[in-house]
Amino acid sequence: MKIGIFLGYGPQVKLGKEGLGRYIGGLIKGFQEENHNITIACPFWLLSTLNELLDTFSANKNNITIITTKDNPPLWKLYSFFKVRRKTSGLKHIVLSHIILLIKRLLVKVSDAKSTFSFAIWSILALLASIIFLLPSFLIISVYALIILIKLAKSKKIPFNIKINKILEYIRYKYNFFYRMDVPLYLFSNMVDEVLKNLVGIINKLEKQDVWFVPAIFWPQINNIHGTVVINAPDLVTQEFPYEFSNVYNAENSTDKCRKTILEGKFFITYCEYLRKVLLVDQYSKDDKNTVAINHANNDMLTYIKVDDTLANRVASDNDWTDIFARDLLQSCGSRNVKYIFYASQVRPNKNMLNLIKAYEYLVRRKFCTYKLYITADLQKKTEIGSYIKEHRLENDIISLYNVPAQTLAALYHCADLVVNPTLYEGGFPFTFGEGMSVGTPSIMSDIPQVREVLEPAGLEEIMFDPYDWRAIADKIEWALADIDGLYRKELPLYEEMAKRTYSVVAADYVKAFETFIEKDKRNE
Amino acid sequence: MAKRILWLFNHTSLRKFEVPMLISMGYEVYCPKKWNIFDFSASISYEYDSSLTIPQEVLDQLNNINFYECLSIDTIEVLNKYFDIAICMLNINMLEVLAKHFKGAICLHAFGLEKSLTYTNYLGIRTLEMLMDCGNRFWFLPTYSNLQEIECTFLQRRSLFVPIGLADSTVKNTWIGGEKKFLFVSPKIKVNTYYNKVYNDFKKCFGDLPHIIAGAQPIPVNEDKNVKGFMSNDEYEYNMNHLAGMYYHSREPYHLHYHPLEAIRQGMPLIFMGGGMLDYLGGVNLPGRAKTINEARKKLKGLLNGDTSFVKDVIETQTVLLGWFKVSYCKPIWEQAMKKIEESLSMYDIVKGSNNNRIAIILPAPYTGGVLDYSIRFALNIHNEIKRQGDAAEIIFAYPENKIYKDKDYFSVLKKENVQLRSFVYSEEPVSRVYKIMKIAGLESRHRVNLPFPTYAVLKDGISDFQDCKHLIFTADAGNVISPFFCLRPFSVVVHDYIQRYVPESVSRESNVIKLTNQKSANSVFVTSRATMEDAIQFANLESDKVVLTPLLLELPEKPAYLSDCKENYLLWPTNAAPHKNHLRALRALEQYYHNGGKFECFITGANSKYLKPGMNLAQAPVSVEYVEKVQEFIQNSQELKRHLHFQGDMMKNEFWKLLNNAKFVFHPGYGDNGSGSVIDAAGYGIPSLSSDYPAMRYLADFFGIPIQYVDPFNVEMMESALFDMEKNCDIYAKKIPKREKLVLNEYRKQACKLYQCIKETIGF
Repeated sequence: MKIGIFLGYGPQVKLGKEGLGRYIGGLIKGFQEENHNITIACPFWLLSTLNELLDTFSANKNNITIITTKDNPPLWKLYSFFKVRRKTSGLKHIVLSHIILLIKRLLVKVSDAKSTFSFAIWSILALLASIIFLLPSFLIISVYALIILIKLAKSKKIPFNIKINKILEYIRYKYNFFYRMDVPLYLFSNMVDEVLKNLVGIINKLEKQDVWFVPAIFWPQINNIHGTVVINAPDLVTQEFPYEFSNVYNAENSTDKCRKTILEGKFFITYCEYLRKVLLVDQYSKDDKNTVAINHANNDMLTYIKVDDTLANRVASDNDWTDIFARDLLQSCGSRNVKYIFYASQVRPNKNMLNLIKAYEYLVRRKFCTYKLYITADLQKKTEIGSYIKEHRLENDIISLYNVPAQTLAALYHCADLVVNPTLYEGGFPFTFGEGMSVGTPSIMSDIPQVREVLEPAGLEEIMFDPYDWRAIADKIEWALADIDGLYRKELPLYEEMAKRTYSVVAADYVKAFETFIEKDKRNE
Repeated sequence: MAKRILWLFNHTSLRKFEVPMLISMGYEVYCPKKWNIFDFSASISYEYDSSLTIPQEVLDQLNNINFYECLSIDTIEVLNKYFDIAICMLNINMLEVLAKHFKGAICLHAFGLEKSLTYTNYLGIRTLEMLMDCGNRFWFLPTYSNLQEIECTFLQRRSLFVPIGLADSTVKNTWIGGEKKFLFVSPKIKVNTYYNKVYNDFKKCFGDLPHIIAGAQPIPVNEDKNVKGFMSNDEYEYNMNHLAGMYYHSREPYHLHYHPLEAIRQGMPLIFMGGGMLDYLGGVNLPGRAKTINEARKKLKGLLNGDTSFVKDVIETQTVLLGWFKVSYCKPIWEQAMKKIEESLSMYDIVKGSNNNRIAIILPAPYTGGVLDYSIRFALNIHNEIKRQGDAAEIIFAYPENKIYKDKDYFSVLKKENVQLRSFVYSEEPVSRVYKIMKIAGLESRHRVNLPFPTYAVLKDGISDFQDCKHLIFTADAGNVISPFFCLRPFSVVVHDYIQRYVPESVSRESNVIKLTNQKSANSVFVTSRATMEDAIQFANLESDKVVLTPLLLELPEKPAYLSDCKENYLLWPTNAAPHKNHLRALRALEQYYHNGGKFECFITGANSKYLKPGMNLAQAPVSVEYVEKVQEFIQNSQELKRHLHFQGDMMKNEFWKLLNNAKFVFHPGYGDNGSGSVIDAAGYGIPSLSSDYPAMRYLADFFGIPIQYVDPFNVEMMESALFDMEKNCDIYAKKIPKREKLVLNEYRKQACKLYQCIKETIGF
């Protein structure tokens, strides 16, 4: 089958860092294993991160055709140029440190001088070098002095004050005008939209693919692609949490785009039955037969930390080298032997982080639970979560490890005693279950439809809790910690089943869905 | 007599060179058989056990020991009995154990670190001080003579250069070449950031040239087909003979890998970057040296294209580097060094008696209550055990200068026992001063260690600032000091509880930071309960090896003249004004209790407890005003409580015991601390207790063997029912308390031996 894949991410995205990006990488590998022809269409700015992704997944690039726009738009080039320039500020440091070194050396010469003449020469040179060193400071001081002067002029109402006031007012007016308009966003959105429109135009001019697969709903332009277009609709989380997402930059516009994509699209794949029914069929009145739910592939974290058996066996010892390695990795995050509960998640409105923290606080302060709580959310940003932790003095107990590489993440899962996922809403069954179990750590999870549809048939209802009730989360954690090994054994059969869902299996499911949709499209159903 | 050496490494190539050489010099050498360091260039060999003349059972015992983990005292005894010299790696735990307990020579074998690191900073001042205490038994053995130049003066003056060599350094010239790929060695690509960078830099600069990457890869690098991972000897040999050459990347001035030397030995052309250790060994003018990446690329292309004259030139000239690694060069230097080490051992025998074993037991803040009692008991126990066991050690008891100690003689018991007393003051010193202290002490390397705080608290005793002491033990982790301790001498801290984990408002944020910083920098932390031990690891993030569980040091109250048979109808609530005493919930429970017909009056006593009484002026009170006001207000608004609560304030011991003697039971609704001693007092009088249920309290009661009625400190209803239960059944519960004769066995005096053992093992004397 000739499968086209459309990736319309903006220039700021690094595919390998996004969960979805990695998912696409896995699928591409899976399609290739079944000898399908792959064509990827993406804007020019995505090429390098796409190549990195393909390398990470050891995809055979020779079998992949890439369709892209000619070049990056001038606006992006200009922005990138200045961004790169800003990054090289290290240069200033290097220059300054060299000048300091020079001054030091000259001063040594001054003290070593044996004649008055050489003393004078070296002193003058040292003085000159010092002046060069201090020059930037002089300039900065001058600018500040100027500003102070202007302010003084303003307060004392000397004649040119009127002009200054007017200029300031004018600037403020212009600034406010631009500020309200959000010029950068306006320019950026326009630029991306235009590029994607071009890309679709290019696609339509080239050889037709059997199917175009679009792995996200951010790009309504794809509905203009000629031929069968299958859209992966993971979720529409923003509309479930309008209050919280109103704090997220540009959430309203991107939600609109997602809605438009769903409204105009025809064939859809979701990650779970619940969203297929609720989001697509019920809310957006999509034809039941034009939608299909395909579960995620298993995200096996063991590959990141599993020590090569041949090497481990070569050294005659009974050590668990994988465990030793994982704990060595965590040494830099704190102590290697700390017992902790783990929730790998960013702070997002649907992630329900605060309730977990409240549950944890109760366990420590009221139940004398000695475990720590490790999370991967960025608490440096001024979030409600960060403030709560600070206000309640939980900084020594709740440890945030933000933006860790996949290998450290695997080690964090491995060394955790329990994985907790209190999420309120997901596109499918959360990855955290498989990620934890792949390295030997069991989970407890929210009782939400996306989770229930997997756990109930597996007879694992008891590992779920009501995510809206922090006390229920706490009780479940306490219950789980009482018998971790037992919990692991209970969850193992489900995990073993899940582990069979490799990317090739999932890719085959996708291909099967494509075939059905192509057939339906041909019959114009 | 041949001296025996503990050779504490597992590195294969190193072992092949050093151990046979040492044996040939007449030494017996023991190599460890277990290790758990993540290093696959290591292996186990029994080959050299035959050099040993120790009994087989001792050898078997040693072979089951992991020398990279904390060694037990039994093991140390065996080592002291059979071994004279320990040559060991850079492993702080291992070095500290040896420094504390091993009586022979301790040799830190140094192979160089990354450019930005030094051995001085890696070890840290207190480990260095411990090594310094070993006097002339400690040696720093750098394998290249330039390694010591960046270290502190202490390591420099203890340096003995012992070159590293190759077991077989004869040039084999088996290289044929022919394959148009060159060899690069980069192990552990996905394991360690250093090699990850080496690999990525290599790929960026040379990735387009045909190459093979050797080196064991514990985590496979499947995405790069050029990474071959671990090779068998035959494969490695084949590649060394047939690939076009080897590229060596390192510009590290203080470290050299084995593989460039192996290439030279094989006769394989080596292209290496200038600025590294090979320059120091005479490689500056060699044709294989490259100043820049471009030059290296050019030279590698020369090898790949089969530029025969260039290849010949490289091979013929590079052998000069191998000269430094021949046994014939290394062995005489080693012989000289080992002679010096042996001499130091005999010197040590002569001055053995002069060893200083003075231990300072430090009361860190002007306490007068429980911590002072604990500190005195602690000091007495150690002092008496030293005398009893006849050890060559002594203690001094240090306390902060304060008016309260002038007004009353709190230390009379210690004086009676002839314990030397010493007062001190804290002095806040800026960090610049601290750096100066380190430099003068000879503990600063070329790369200054980064001290994070702007000021540090230094203990000034007006004598030697405790430099005369082998070890300092702070008997509590006081949070009264506004900066973390700076202390050159090794020190330990006793941590009684982590109340701030459970009741954060008990300790200020700043104080918490200082407490945890002090504990982190301490050589060890003594805890008094399993619950605190758990918190030390889980909350304070301390390594479990560093946390030592010591026995509780409790004392029963003086035996009363009579035991009251006819108790009066009251319960005793010993407390203070701190939030963790859980007043508000307890008061709510008591209010309900009285409201529902409870008959026992409530007597409240303890330090600052008088401030809980409504109407008390809090202007000068050493309490959290906000909190105490809430308590006062609660009582003020309750007629029941006003009627039944009786505030006794801070009572003299005798008066307290009198009150206790007539009480029906003791009520302890607080939580999160290290347990209440009043429960012990009560048990001594045969009086039962109702206590909050929390881990440290359970530990304390179990330790002393006292049955207690427990209640959830957060559940007011349950607390109320428990009060009624006590009212009804206190006589039955009283009967279950063991007799005083039995309880006495758990008093602090009986813990002396156990405590002393802990201290002795931790400090090492």
